[in-house]
Amino acid sequence: MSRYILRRLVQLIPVVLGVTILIFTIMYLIPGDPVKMMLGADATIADIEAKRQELGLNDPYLVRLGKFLRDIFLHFDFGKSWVYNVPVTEELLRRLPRTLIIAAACILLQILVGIPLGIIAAINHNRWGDRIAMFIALFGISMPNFWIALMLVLYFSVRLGWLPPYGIGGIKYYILPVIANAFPGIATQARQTRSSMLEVIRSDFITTARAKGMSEFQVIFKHALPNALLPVITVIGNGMGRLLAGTVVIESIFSIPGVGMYLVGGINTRDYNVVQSSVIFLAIAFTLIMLLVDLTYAMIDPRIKAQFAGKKRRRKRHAHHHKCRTHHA
Amino acid sequence: MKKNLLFAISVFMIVALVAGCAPKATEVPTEVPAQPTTPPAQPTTPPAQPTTPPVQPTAAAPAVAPEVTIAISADPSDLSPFVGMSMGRIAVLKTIYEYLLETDAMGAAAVPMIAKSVEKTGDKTYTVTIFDYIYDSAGNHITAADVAWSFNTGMAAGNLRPLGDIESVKATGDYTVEFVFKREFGVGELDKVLTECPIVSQKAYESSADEFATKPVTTGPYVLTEYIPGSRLVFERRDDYWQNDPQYRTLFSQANVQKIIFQVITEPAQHAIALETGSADISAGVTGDDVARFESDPNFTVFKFRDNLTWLLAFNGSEGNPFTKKELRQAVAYAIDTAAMCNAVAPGACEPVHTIGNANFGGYLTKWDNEPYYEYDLTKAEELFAAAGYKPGDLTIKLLAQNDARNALMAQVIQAQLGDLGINVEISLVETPVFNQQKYDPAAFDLLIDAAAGGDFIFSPWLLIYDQNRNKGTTGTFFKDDELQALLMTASSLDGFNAENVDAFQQYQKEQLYAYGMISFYNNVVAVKGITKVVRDTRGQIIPGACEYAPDFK
Repeated sequence: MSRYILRRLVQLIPVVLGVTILIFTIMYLIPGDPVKMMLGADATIADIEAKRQELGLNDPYLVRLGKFLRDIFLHFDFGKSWVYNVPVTEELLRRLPRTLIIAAACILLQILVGIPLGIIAAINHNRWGDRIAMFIALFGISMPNFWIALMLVLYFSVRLGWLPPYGIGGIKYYILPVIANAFPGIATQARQTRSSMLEVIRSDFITTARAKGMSEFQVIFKHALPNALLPVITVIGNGMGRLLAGTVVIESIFSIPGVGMYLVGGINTRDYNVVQSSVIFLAIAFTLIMLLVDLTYAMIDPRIKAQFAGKKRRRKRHAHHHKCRTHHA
Repeated sequence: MKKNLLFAISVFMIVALVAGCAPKATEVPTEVPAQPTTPPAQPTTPPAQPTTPPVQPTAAAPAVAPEVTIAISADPSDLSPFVGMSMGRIAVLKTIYEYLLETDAMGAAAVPMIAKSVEKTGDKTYTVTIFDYIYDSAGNHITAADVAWSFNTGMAAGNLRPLGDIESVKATGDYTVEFVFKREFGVGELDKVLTECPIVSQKAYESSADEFATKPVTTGPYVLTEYIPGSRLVFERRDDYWQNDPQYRTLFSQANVQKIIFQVITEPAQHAIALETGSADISAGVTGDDVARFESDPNFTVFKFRDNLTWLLAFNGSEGNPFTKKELRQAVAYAIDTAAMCNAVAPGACEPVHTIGNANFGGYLTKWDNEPYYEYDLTKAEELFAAAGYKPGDLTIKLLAQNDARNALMAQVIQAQLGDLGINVEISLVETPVFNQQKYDPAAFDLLIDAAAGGDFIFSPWLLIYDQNRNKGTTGTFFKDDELQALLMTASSLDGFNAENVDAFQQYQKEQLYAYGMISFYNNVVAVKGITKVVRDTRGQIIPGACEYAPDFK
């Protein structure tokens, strides 16, 4: 297992390198001049040219790419924001905890609500339980999260005065953003779980389990659910990656300075360092999350765990089997 | 299996926990500000440039309120004095820093702040004398050496554009500084330089771990006590503020409230909610129907300020473009109903203009309000269209604008109205960075919806649009006209800035119509009851210390 993890971590290097070159090239090709954004409307052409020269924007593509790769991979320097003059790494690290709180809490909520909802729907297939659960899921998917967010604010902040409508501070500031952001994910999770569960509970081994006289609880939670969880975990992993960069709407509505807002602000102002560094950072985070998802597969499914076993161990096991067969013979 | 499930859940909980336990960062905010409640009365003659700043009249000290919270729309991120300007920084910098001079109102001469006087000692040389009793909040004494160092550091950083006109700055005494400029200045240009660079103690700045990015030490009447990047800034009134002479207390030296909180609220809908829930007291970010709601609510006051921005339609004057024909430009202007545009874009918060600029600016002549300026006349437009050699349906043009709600609406109105004239308009809405690039490309558009602003005199927006020295020998949209340039230079020069020359330029630009001033908006500032006066700086930013509060406010 440790060799597998190490191998995956080594694989991170070409992924990050590829992402770095790709995002640099995209930013190079995308129209829009960052210097005109930085200096404002009253800048003269001479001012603009001087600033472009200072930032190295007049250099050829390969020279700029080379400098960028050198700074990132040799000096681990992501540079400073051109607009705010703050080191990008420092700003990302400052914002990351807020985004992580929202993303992790959303995933947790999706697991705690979405999976049970999907199970209820599946075991009550085509009955009221299914219909109610799927209505909730449909509602969650249909309602845009910004609308849900504003409705929650109007009710819980303006009308009841229970929760702060925006800002950052203690846990209570995160309750509304997390609920609003988790809604679509809960719905997706519920539908995915229902679909997987329906497929599994029609399998022969579930019929066998029932025939053996196992309780319905055991059938569902011991046999059906573990087999239905793999696609659900994939959805959770993808969702976590998406949430890391995709909470911008919620961050904006609730004035939470997170990674998503930083990235979008960087795109709008053509703050190359911010965009490039944020994307690289997110690529690394996403790759690590996918690794975590794969490891979780192994925890749940012994067949996958077996694949993770190192060659040495497999060889050892093979030799053992061979020895046994020889012995029996 | 239960173990495995528990493991998966635990992993996510640990991630959440780690995130929650991460060290608490100090957090930040940003926003929009100010002006008088009624558009200021306009001088008929532009004011002359003073060599020594005039003295600020003494006013009776208003009541000091305990606390006020201002909702701002963007995050300053970096509070250091010498980095570039952003929407977030504009909102708070005047509350943080002090400058050599300060301008209280558009078109007014600058008044002393750090500088006690400014004397012209040569064609391009000025001597600035500062007060000899200036101390920052850490007790550092500010001398001429600090002033020279601040300017030299600002110049080296290259982010404060007006400082590019400085040749050298040096301290010539304990409290005197000599400025040598690269050229002779026109009206208001010296003020622009001397009001641009924050003055700080070199010692304090160099002792700072982050160059004042999060903990600036300044000479202002307020001291920053809390800064949560992305969220809020808290200022406390200084008891030891150095300027005790009331005649020198500028607008920005006022401290009418004990504690100021700038709260960053990025979502416009939340500005209204913040006011309604009592978590903000003033906001310039309330939009649309919400403003009407607050107007009818006795617990709030809506202060209206005319914006400094003028929205204009610029014609492409590059060789071969149809808009090199004056008749066609005039035909387009007559075909556009700016009053109808106002109703479509911002009913009740917009007005047609009579030049590129409005009555906010110093030197604006009120007589222009009564002179014809291409009022909507389709018949006249059709005559001019025919005189330009076109028939309905002959001409298809590309209209370039920024991709936001207001620009999109303006573009649609223009498209419809020019359609009545027989011109086919293809709208190209692009995001701001792309717009800022394409507006310099003669092949990218025929018509351009743009905005021009300024913070002082009427010729400032004209210079932005027309000054051929700034744009490689043509106006911003590629017209070359020596007479226009000569008139503009005269109207904006120290000797030539008078009503006659300003009017001469206005009449010429109106006739040539390289750009057509269309509309100007009003900004609404909503304040809770008890805030009796909202004061804004020339950039439209709220100055909380200068606002006035009822004795029973909070």
